[in-house]
Parts: sequence; structure tokens; C-alpha cells
Amino acid sequence: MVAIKAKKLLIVSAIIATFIFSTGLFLGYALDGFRENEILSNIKQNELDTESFILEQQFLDELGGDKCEILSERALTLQPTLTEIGRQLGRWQNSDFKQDEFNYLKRKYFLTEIRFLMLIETLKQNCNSDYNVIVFFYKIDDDTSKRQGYVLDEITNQNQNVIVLSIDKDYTQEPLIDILKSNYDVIEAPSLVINGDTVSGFIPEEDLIELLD
Amino acid sequence: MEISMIALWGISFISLFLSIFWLLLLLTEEDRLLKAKKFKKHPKISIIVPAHNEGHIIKQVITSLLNLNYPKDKLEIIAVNDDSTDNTQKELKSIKDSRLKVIYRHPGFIGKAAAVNAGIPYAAGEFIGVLDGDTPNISEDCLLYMLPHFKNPKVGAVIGAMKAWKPKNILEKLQWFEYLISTLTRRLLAILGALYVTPGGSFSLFRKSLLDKHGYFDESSLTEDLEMAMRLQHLHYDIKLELNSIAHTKVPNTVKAFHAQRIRWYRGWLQTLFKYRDMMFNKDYNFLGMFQMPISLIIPFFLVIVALTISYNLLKQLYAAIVIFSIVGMDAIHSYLSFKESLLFNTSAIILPMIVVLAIGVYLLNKAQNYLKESWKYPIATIGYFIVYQLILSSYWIAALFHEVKRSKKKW
Repeated sequence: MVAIKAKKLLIVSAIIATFIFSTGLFLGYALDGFRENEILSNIKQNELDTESFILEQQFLDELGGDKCEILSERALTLQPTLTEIGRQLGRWQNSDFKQDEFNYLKRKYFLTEIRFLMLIETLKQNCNSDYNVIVFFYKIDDDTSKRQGYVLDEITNQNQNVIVLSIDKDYTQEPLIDILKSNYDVIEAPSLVINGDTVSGFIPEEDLIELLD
Repeated sequence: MEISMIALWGISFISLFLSIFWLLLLLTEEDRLLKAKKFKKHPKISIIVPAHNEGHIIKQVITSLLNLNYPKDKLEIIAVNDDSTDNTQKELKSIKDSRLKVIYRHPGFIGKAAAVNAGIPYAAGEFIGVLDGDTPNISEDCLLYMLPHFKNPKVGAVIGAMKAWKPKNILEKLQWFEYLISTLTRRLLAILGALYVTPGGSFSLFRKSLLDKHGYFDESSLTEDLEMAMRLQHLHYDIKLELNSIAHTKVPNTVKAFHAQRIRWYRGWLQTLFKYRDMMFNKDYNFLGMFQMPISLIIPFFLVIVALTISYNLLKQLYAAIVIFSIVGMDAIHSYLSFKESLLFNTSAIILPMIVVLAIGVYLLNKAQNYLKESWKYPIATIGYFIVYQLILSSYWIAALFHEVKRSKKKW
């Protein structure tokens, strides 16, 4: 009789435990979905903004006028969304679920970044803007890369005209990244491409400020 | 997905499963736990107290036994002084009571099991009680509560509840909680006929005829009380726990003494498990053989994996936090918080079960305190008990296992 009771209780416990455990799993899954949507909506917003920016550029080309001032201001408004998307993706990195969705968003993010980079370069050439553009090649789960990331966060917080674009050095699904890498002679991570010049290895905050000046 | 992740999932599931099991067992049996039966007869009882250098406390132990609520002519106390070098003998001799018999073993320390065995031939009782020489307080009515269980001829032994005696430092307070919880789980194990300990610290009563027939305590065992309980289970005798009988026993108050005690316990348990390995996965032994014995072997390994994973992650986090602070100073708080957030978000499959496990743990501890007429105290030790204590115990367990493996290798 005792044996039957124990068996019954064990089965009931297993069922309840499974229920709670799956609730936890489901919660994790739902939270991942929630994040995916958030990143996706940020990317969409950024795409719209970029499109509108390009149109504005063409419009001003047609009509003339002091386009440089307007465009420089516009370009800067695109930067924060990009940084935010990068942060969200970074936080999501070790997610248990939705690896495919994550990869899709990551690729999309890199493409958006590269497009933004090209826009800024055009702007610099045509308008003599004084932007500092840093392309940051990092490596996932690498402590030096992380430290470099914190330094760059700090630099962008302090300086309005520094634009940082971070790119996963080992990301192979996007051929454009390979082109960028060979173009800038990037081999290791972290590497910073500061206004077109490549510097490899960790750069402390003070040295970086000097390099930018 | 990483292997460590799957291991963590497995552990969180198993601990969830076990906590729910204990909780359900408690909830379905609650009204039976404290129920006491009346017993009209007063059979003769002999209580054996082994003592080795317990001079500072032995008088209290014997006095609390002499004060038991039981007919004077039916109770005898046999104190076995096992080659004490302190004033134990003097203290024992100073107690004037015809019910106390003192056996002085000298020279040559023989150990607790042998000391109890040395006392048994002098015992005239139908039942033999064993109380450790460092258990200075026992409830007056304990015999009246414990004896009725023997009405069932299949019951070979009855043990009482055990509390830590006057805990002062943090180590003793941690053990205070451990003893409360373990008394409750033992009570629940007894319901399932799977109680496998008869500690002298909690006061244990044995049927003397069984000891005569199946042998006294095993003097080669590191934990003779465990061995005796498993022997009784092996012979299909039942062991009961009476919550209304409460003994207070001294617990190790230094890390060194605690270390020695736990290594001895766990090695003793491993040896006993090995000795009665035929019970493992044996259907004849129901819950004990099919569930309790295997799980007691597996759980510590799981806990150690959890301990390693958690401390690795904590160290990694700490390192990251230090790095951020050293680079960007106070602004780091923002990045650090987002990091913590990500940790929480990513592992809700582990966090949620763990919250449930913790809640059940607190509930069970609260119940144990109610049954043993205690209230919440020692807040810091409470937190310590739930967070680190289990992990410390598990590491001792693993250490004991290594000891045993090394020892058996030498033998080969």
C-alpha cells in the first residue's frame, strides 16, 4: 500500500514538475520572441529613416540649397538607433532559442551598418563634415574585444561627432564583411578602423582620444 | 546548445521534482505526523550512554535521562565510560541513583559502537535505548511517545526528533536548520517505510530481541547507527520517527570538527550502501531500494555541478564588472545592469523552477519549525542554509567518495 502511494506521488510530482519546467521554458521562448520583435521594429525604423535620408539627399541635389548642414544633422539621428540595435543583439547573443532568427537579424544589422557607413563616407567627401568614423571589428566572447567595446561606448557618450559601427570579424554569412576586412587589412580582433586607418589590438581611452584628434 | 546548459536544466528539473514530492507527501500526510498513541504497558527499558571525554556535559545527559517520565523500576541507565582522560568518571560517580550503572572501560579507547556493545550484556530491558554522551537534553515524555510504535511487531526501532543544542556560531546555526529539515524529511521517509538512520544523537530505541538475534552494532563501521538501521531495513523491519520526542545534541562548532564528522558520515554511508548493495534497485525494498538509495548517490554530483557552474558564472560576472569599472568608472552601472538583465532573461527555464524550489524549501522549514515547536530565528544562517550550505555538504560528499575510491584502490 505504501509502495502504491509512493508511486502515485512520484508520478504526480513528475507531472507538476514538468508543468512548471515547461512554463519556464515557454517563458524563455516568449521573452526571446519579445526581443526579436523589438529588434526587428528598431531595424525597420532605421530602414525607413535611412530611406527618407537618401530621398532627402536626392531632393536637395535637385533643388540645391545648403544641403550639407541639414544632412549632417540628419545623419547623426540615425546613429543612436543603430547603437541600440547592436546592444540588443549583444544581449541576446547567448539565447537558447531562435538561433535562425537571431542570425537573420544580425546579418540585417551588419548590412544596415555598412549602408550607413557608405552614406557617411559620401557625406564626408561632399560636405567636408568633421565626423570621426570608427569601424570596430570584434570577436564574440573575447574579453579584449569586450573591453574595447566599453571604451568605445564611453567615447561615443562623450563625443557627439564620433560614429562607431561594430562588426563581428568572424561572421561568415555576409560576403560584404569579407570585402570590408580585406579592404581595411583587418586580420585580428579587436581592430579599429579610424577614419580609414586600421589599428589592431586594444586601445585605451586616452590613446583613442589622441588618435581621434 | 551547450552541455552545461543541459546539465543545469536537468538539475533544476530534478530538484523541482524532489521538492514537489516532499511537499505533496507532507500535505497528504500532515494530520498523521504528530498523532500520538497511548500505551498502557510499561516494559523495561535500558538506555545505554557511550561517553568519551564528555565530563563537561555528561552529568546533564544522565540527569535528563533520570528525569524521564517513566516508572522508576522499569528504567535503567548504563553509562559506558570509554577510556575518558578527563573528569567523566568523577562526574558519573557523583550521581547517586540506583538506576544508573557505570561501566568503566580502561585502558584502551574502543569507539562508540564497541562502547554501546559493551553495555548491552548488562541491559535487562526489553528495549534498548541509545543516547549519545553529548546529547544533554531530551523531552521528559519521550518514552511514552516512542514505545507505542512497538505494538506493531514489524517495527524494529523508533527514533526521536533531533535538534542542535544551543547553537552559538554560524556553523552551529547552519546545522540547526539542517537538523530541523532532516528531522522532517526523516519523518516523511518513515511514512514510506524508508527511514534508514537510527542516530544516538536523536535518541533511538531498539527491540533487544532483534539485537540478540541479528547481532549488536558493527564495530568496523564508521557510522554504526546507519549500519544498524540499514541492517534492520535489510531484514524488512520498519523504523519509525516520533516527532513528540525531541533530543538536543551538541553539534561540531569548529570547521575542523565539522569536516571530520561529515567525511566520516559520508564515508560511512558509502560503506553501508556498498554493504547492502543488494537492496539497490531491488523491488522488495520499495521506496528505499528503488528511489531513496539511488537518489542519495546521485544528488551530490548534481549539486556539485550546480556549484561549479554558478561560481564560474559569478566569477565571470564579477570579472566583467571589475573590468567595466576600471575602464569607465561609475557609468558602468548601466552596462552592468543590462548584463544582469540578460542573465535573468536567458535562463528563465532555470530561474522559475529554482524560485519554486526555494519557496517549497522555506515552506518545509516553516512546517518543521511548527512541528518541533520552534519559531524563525538566525536570519543570516537561514539565508546561508538555503544558498550555500547544500553545496558545502555536497562537496564533503564528493570528498568522502574520493577517499573511499582511493582506499579501495589500495586494497586491490
